[in-house]
Amino acid sequence: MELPPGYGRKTATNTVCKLKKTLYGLKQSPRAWFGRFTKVMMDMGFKQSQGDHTLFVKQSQSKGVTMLLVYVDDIIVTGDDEEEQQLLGQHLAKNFEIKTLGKLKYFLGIEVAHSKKGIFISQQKYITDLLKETGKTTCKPANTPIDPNLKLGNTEEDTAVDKEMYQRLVGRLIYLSHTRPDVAFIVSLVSQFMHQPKEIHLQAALRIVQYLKGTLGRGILFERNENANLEAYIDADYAGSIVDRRSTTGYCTFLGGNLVTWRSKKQKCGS
Amino acid sequence: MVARSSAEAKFRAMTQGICELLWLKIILEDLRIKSDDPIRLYCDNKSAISIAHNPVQHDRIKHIEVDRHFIEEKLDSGLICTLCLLTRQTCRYSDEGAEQQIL
Repeated sequence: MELPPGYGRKTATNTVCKLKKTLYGLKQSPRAWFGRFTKVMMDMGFKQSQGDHTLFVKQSQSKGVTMLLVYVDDIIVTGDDEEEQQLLGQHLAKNFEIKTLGKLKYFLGIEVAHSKKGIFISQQKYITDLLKETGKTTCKPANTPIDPNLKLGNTEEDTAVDKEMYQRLVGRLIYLSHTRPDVAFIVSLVSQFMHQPKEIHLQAALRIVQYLKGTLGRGILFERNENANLEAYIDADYAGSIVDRRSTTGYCTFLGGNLVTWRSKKQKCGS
Repeated sequence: MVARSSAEAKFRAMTQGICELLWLKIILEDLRIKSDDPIRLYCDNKSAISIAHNPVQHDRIKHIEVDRHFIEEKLDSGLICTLCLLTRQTCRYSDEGAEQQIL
């Protein structure tokens, strides 16, 4: 690091700078930022959730609950205590430079729509950008994300494709599965060949993009519901991977009839 | 080690599903959403459910012993109940266009 201009003694050897606070770009900075944010929230009387450390909850005396979720510098606030929410806004404005953007519409590339029925989240814009990037804007939409009879494996004789391009494409698809459980399995399948992608894998990945073109507006609807019962549906295939004969787990959990989490994951050991 | 039956694979899936449910339960408690009903876990494999309920240890299932004790503990505490869901073995994506109810 170079000494900042205007700093008195010049080029004294064997001197070091002692940092009083973190600088942008240091690897300690994110933690320092989150520590500061947590402290401000604790002063407000919020409690950090142990299940998800970026979630802060406060129960006010009037039995209302206020929740705050933070992702780096994006914050969502919700709850049933309007007064507390305003107080929180003022308190945050005092400590940080913030801007209130009103009702939640867009968060980390996920579009949020409110209606009488409930809340609908989708990634339509993200898919449109993905189609543009892959040059598939005018392609014929596919009905299914994968050919049902296709088994992907390590095919040695196939021609290799650009690794970086493949990894970027699959990375974008992984992010997309935040609102698209229908492609979760196929995305997990194509992401198993990141280290040595071949033509057949790229074709499979592009087929997902083609499928997405036909199903742009799909997303997840959270309906208003009285009960909050938890349910889970689980399943597994048997030796589905032709590379190492491991099985794939699949499960989805529903809260009050609404899909909240899901996963498709190859099991860790061969069973 | 190799599973000789799909029940074993499904059993592992059950464990992973339960782990996710336990995590969700912690989050819900933080959000002050309480539900005393046991969590319903649907699985389409009868033998996997039977293994979960039956405390007898067989030779065949020795690879999944840890998972078995984990599930049994949750079942005994009344946190989770398992239900069998009969499914037809059909291809989820038909070529004529996938009809999906979730989306």
